Amino acid sequence: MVVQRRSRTDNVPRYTRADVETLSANEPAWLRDLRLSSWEIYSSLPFPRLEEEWRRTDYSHIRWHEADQMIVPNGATLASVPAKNLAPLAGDAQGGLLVIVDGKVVHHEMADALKAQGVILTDLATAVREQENLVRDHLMTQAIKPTDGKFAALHGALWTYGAFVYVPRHQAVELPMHIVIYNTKAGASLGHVLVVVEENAMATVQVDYASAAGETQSSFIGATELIVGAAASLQYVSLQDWNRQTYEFSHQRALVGRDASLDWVHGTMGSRLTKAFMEVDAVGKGGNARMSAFFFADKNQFFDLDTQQNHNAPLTNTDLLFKGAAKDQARTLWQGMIKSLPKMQKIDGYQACRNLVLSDEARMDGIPGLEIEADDVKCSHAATFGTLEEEYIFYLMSRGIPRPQAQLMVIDGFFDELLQRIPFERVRERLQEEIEAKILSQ
Amino acid sequence: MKAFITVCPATDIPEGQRAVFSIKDRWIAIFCVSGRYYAIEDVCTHDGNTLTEDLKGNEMPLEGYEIACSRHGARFDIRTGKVMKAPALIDVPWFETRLEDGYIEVAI
Repeated sequence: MVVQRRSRTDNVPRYTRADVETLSANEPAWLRDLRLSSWEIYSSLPFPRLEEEWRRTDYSHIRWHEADQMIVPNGATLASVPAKNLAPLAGDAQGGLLVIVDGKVVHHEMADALKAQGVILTDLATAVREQENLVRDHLMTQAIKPTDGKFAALHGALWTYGAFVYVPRHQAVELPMHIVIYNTKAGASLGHVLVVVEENAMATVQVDYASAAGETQSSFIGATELIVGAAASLQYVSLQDWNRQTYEFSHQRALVGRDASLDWVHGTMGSRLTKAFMEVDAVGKGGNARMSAFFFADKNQFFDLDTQQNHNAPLTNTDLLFKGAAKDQARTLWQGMIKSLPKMQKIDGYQACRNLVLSDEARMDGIPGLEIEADDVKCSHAATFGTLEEEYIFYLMSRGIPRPQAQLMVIDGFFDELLQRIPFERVRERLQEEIEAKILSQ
Repeated sequence: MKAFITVCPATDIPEGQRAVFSIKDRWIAIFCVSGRYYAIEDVCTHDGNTLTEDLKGNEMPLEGYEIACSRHGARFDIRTGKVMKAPALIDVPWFETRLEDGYIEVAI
């Protein structure tokens, strides 16, 4: 049993500027400058604690002396990754598969059709070497910036691995690309996903985050950048299933260009604590974004999903639906904001978070918000909370279905609307099994 | 099931002082008053704020056996965890303490 006295000063990551310099020793000057300027921002900011978006999220139980140890690849191979994470998303073949274990690429394949289209799916370090201009233009310059917060700055300074997806103009990629990020060891993991879909292009990408069970604490300080060009279309699925010792601090943001379309589905199942900033910026007239997420917390898990839908251009649509459940002593929190700049007329923004509270000790909070500075808009929001409806269960039991099965069916039904938004049947089935396992776990 | 967990030497919390420990992912505040140790969870049951510090990190004083939340003024009795003043309506979790060989133990 670890008993730790609270300290506001000692329990912090032990990184130094020298770590940044070592990491960037062989990198191009622009990247080294980006890392060092991020480090300066990180050093100048206090750890967030009482700011409005943080004050309900107590991550002070993290033991940084365990969670700040950088994970170093140590021979783990593709065989370490659970088969369920590696299965092709659709059919028998992958459009592309990139598997990163403990920060190191252990598998990389791409269908010839994608190569012929000029599509890039590679790890970020390789992309920095081989596609330097593309990476330099997009890496933490447009979507996520080091100034976004303490953890964004730390990530900018010390990200250690990542994935880069690039789809050239006018290319419609039919086969989905799959990225698997898996950790076998405990410690700090700073991963970056950068997806760029150029004008009038189309792609589907799924990212799985998972880790093996661990005895000591871990941290994931991550960033995701989705850049969807004019008239482009991106379907993006991200599924997180870290082990129960992991604290996730992530920034995820999509930029949706003129007449572009984004369909983003996110799932949070794992981790001890997750603090994720998920944002969509509709930056081009006619841009359209749908954000969907499901989450299920049990035992002592704490999920804090902080969403923002920024209408930075007129005639843009954003539609957000989050659905979550909590049991045991778990806590979840969703804070959402729809924001419109002045003169951004004719926008349509909607957000809803539906919560299913499955025990007396669980707590779920929903805080929707609107900040509208234009006067010809359609914006609305909703948050609902409920427990299992006894009437539905009674109805199913009256048809001869045992009570536990009836409860499962009702909860499955609650999540089904969201799972149906995932375009891969195999993934939907996997997630349904994981949700059912959580419902039945003691 | 509750079991006594060794927290720290009694000398770490002198008379009139308090310390806060992470035990089983909960912040437990232990106070020493008149030679006895009292333990409650360091959380206001009204809005989740810490009880032992205000928003600037200053220590919140004990008034007799009561501690007040800095945000909205809810008060709790550290001897029992009982809520003494609204807006909190629910008692704060309270834990039994004992001294064993000079060490403070908390049942959690």
